[in-house]
Amino acid sequence: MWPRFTLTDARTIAHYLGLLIVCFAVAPAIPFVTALVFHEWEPASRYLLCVGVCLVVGTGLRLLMPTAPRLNRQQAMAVTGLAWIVLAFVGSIPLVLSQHYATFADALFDCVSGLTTTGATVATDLDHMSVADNMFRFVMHFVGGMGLIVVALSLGLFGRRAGDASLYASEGRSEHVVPNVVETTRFISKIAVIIIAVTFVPVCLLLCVTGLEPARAVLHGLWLSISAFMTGGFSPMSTSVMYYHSGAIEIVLMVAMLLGTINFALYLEVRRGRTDHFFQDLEVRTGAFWLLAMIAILAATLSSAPLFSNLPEMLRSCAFMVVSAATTTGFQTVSANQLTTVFSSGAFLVLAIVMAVGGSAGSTSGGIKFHRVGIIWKSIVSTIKSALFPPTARVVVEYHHIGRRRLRPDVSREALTVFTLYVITYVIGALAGIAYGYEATTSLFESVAMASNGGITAGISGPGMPLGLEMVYLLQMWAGRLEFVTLMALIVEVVVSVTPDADDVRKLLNGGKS
Amino acid sequence: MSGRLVRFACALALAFALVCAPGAWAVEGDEGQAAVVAAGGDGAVDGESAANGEPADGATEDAPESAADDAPENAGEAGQGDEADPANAIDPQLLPDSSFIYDTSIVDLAQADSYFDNQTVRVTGEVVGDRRASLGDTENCWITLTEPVFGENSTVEVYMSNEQASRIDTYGAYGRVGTILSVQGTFHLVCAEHEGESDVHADSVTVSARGHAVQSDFDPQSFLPGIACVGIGVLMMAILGILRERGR
Repeated sequence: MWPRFTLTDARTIAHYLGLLIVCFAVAPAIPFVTALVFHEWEPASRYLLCVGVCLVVGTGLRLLMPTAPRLNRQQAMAVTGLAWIVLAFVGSIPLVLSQHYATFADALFDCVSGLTTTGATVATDLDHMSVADNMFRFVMHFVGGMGLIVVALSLGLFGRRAGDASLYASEGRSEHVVPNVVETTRFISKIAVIIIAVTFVPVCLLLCVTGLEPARAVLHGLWLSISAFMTGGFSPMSTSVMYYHSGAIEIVLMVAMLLGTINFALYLEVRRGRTDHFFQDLEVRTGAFWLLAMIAILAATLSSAPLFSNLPEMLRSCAFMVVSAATTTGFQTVSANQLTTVFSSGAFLVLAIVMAVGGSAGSTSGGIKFHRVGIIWKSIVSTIKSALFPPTARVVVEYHHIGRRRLRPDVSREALTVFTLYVITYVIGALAGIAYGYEATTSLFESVAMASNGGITAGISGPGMPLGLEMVYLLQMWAGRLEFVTLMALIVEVVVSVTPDADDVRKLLNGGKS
Repeated sequence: MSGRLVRFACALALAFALVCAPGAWAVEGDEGQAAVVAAGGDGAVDGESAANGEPADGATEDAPESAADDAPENAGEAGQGDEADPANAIDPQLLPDSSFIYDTSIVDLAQADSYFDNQTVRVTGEVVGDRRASLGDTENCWITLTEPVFGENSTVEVYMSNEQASRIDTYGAYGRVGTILSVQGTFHLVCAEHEGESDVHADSVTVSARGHAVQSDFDPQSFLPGIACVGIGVLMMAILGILRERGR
């Protein structure tokens, strides 16, 4: 028996969605101000319109239930799941009017890509995009990377009447940095702002040295810092990080990406002086081992190709590619064409596997997550131990994750479930690409990039891609950001709610008699 | 018996050759003339195939020699001494060039495979972005060229000298169209000098068209829909506030 939404549930969900949309009006307000500063009048008019639409639509939804009760678990899940797509719809209005997108579907794709921090883009003529439009893209990265619910909770938008913990957990966040959810979200916000500011300074200086004008250096520095820490992947120029031809900038961005993929709870541990928790953490150890192994494998695979002239250069480039893929940022130092023509199939698949696994839980990165990979490994160890020891023996496997923990069956089950869902989604996306006539390895790579929110494209995603495939990738990005469970639960609840109940149908057919 | 047969076969073959020879000479003379015309017109393209030992298109390996031998006999098209054009004569001492120059689009380079690697190309595109310095190299810089036709994201990175880059008057961005530049140089699918990037090392740079600004005048009417929406939204929020107050 599945729980169904009632009309009251729908109005409650609409109220909180409306609240999020009204607050999302701040997002287009930033590029509106930017457009006025840079005298970009046409973009300014578009973003003013978007602000107005946010206020109208959001308040309209809130008027369905002016005073809403506290959210229960199912309602919180629905609000979280629908928020991403509803805000993307609203955010695509100024983009579709910008003439950089051929269709509304393209603008929606870019919005979802921005909010989910995937970083794949279908915008045309990116190099002529206005400062305001670029600012909006990176604002979406910031909001999406933080988490829409995190931002809302940290600002106290839901007040005391919302189901804080349900909302927080529904967005794929399992870590309570501090016991209070609101304090947790505020701590995350502070960390993000500080690290972005710290990254911005050296990047901006390096861009000035590279030759950019000061205004452009400041803007590009800010955008790249946001994109790196939020592990987004959008770039202001169409050639991504390759545009800057600067190894120093790549190193700074690499550090920012790695910081963005660290669990926020560990930042608090370090601040409290418990650095041993950081170094003993299951995710940190799994991630460090994984990154080093993948860099070595990729370097070995690429050493046969005439890409690099010396070993240090090769190692640095491989490190950047692996870090960009593992953190699911999506910055590219090789073009999509080179990925498919110069890279061996082995190197190509190494990058896909690295993206598929992703970064740490409780961070801005996507993918299966190091935590789950570590848990699955511990489950395998536990299973082998159980096979070796007598049936009466009690097998205990421990791991270190913000303190010493014992491996429980429900934790193993959750990890395996999400792992399986990711793999199924990768396969479904690959089959969709194959059905549209693309190469199998390229289709698989692209599918992994979408579902893991990695964003490194092999050339399928771009202007003019088939609409059906675009929608499949859009769903993958959405599902990947919510880590599947929330979205699947939402879909099940909606389907069950709109499907007539068998008893009700019987009553109707019998003329009201049971 | 077998000796008689052999003698008979040889006599038959000789008779056949005597009958067919004039016709064969006539056909070979026509083909030789065509080879002379083809070798003179497509010397640059066929130079590579000649260097590789492959026959040029539309001609055999011996065609130029036989054409030269037969030209006086097959006068008319090839020309006697009076009508021969000295400028059209082939100098067999000239060595063929292994790379060749042709106009190519930036879209083709963006999707290039090994066919284009290390080839001399000429591309024309709009300069966008910025002039970026090359680390540790004070003589050269990086320029980005894009297709002047919008709708594609095809770009190519060009490595050129600062002197060449100084001819660029406008860098394309929002509100301005950059200088249209024609660059001739060597395309590298994977440049070993520049960490494996795809780039063009410019040999010569020509300005095809100057850049210009695209004026976007302030139009107050374009803000009306936004102002109206914001006004309606604020009004609705006020109504919501009143309803919430009454509900308490």
